[in-house]
Amino acid sequence: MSQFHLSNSTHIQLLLHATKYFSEPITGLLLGPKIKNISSTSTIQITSCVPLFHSNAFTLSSNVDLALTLVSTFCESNDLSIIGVYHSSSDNNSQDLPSPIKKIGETINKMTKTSVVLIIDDQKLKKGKEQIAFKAYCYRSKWINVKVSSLSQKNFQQGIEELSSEENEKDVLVIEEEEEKVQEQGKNKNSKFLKNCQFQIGDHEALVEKFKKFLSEEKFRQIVDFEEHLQNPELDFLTQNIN
Amino acid sequence: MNKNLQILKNKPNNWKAARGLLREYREKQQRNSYEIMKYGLPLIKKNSKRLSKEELFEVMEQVFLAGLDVNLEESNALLLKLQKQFPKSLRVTKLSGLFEEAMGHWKNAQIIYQSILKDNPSDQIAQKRLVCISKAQGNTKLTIQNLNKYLSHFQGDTEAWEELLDLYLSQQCYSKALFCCEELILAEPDNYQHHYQIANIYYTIGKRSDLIKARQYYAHSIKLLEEQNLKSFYGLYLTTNKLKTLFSRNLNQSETQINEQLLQFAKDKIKKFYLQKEDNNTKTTVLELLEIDN
Repeated sequence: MSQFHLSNSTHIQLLLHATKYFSEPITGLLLGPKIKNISSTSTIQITSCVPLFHSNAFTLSSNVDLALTLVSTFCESNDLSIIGVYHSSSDNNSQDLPSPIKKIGETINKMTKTSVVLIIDDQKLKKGKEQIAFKAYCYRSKWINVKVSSLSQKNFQQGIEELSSEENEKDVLVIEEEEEKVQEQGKNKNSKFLKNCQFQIGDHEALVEKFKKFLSEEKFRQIVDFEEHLQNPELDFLTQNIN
Repeated sequence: MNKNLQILKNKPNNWKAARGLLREYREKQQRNSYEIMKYGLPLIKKNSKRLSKEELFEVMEQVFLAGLDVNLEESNALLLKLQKQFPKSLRVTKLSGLFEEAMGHWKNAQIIYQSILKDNPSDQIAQKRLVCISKAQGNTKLTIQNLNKYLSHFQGDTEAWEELLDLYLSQQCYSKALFCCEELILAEPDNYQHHYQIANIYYTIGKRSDLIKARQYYAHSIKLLEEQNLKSFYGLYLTTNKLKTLFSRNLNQSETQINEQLLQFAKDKIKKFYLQKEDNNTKTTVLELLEIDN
């Protein structure tokens, strides 16, 4: 089973980006440590994010090309790789996966053989009823929903340890598995989620508490995205120092 | 950082700074709802006597509008006060329409604006708000229709053309987006942003002739503004690079030379921009990228 783990600090940064630009569509990239051999039982960790846009700039390939080029250069020299893209549209009833976001996800897939798209729905963060605020999608010939679940802090650490020890045992190419799964998918039309793939986040309660604290401290103002950088080149968009 | 904002960070009760900050925001029509509510509300509640009557009501309207983003309860209270003070005012009726919109009561809001239009059929704001309601309801196609209708009456409204441009981009209708951009350039030919934006759209469409047009528009944007226009230099760099790598067979010798000169010009300027700045990850990455390309 292939797994994605989203660290709480990255999760919070995504939400802070969405908070800073509450009335705009936001887009950004997800980064994680480079994996040398991706197998079917890989655990793919997402440890940081790079906020990119807070407008419809993501629909213009000049902006996207530039952002992807800069971020991949950054990744090369820091032993990271681009794992996926996150996006949140400004209106509540829009289509789930806008096609420019699909394109970005597919470009990332070509580069790293595995990518995930997170679509944030900020309606899910209503006070008192906080739920996991996004949907995850993985690419297996087309974009399929992946089940998102939360682990309590203890299990999260255990989970990473267990799975990373199995990482180097099998060397099966993910591509072969993709075709198998698509066939399986066809048989079981009722399954909404991709089989054998899970997207896990950390302790959700702890996350919500920390997020609320950051909101009261107005930490969202410290987020710098690529668009802001273009207006003001002194700002560094590649690393967000928010603790 | 803004002078007044700096004072307020240390002395949040400084009414002069609050008044100054709100005046600035009114002049520049900035939507800094969080700050406006934070510093404007105490100004109204505790220091209203420091403001002239005229200014007090302007500030009340400003804080009301900010509350639609951050604190609906306060907006409601302010609206009631304004309605008491100006019972038959068209301006306050429009504010009540905005409040209904913020609450998500689309039908109520529509009724308010349509009643305004009954007595004032050419009222621009009410017509515009009806378009906004269809946008808020998420129906992009209907909004595009309504906005086109609105623009057929009010062709000079650049904000509306920008909104239509944005809507077309969100639907990836690039040729229609181009048309909106052209209208914007006609209306504001010295605005470097419009030239930059149209260049972006041509780059996105991506054929050889489009890339050449993109290059021309990026260059024109740079001509209009050189110093704070890093994004146009990036655009020029990307376009010339793409022409060089993908279309080099289709360019004759003089065209190739021009392209190469522009590519170098863009790279040098970008380097110069960053070398003036302090060291950070972005600077390092950009300089690395330009070196790799060399």
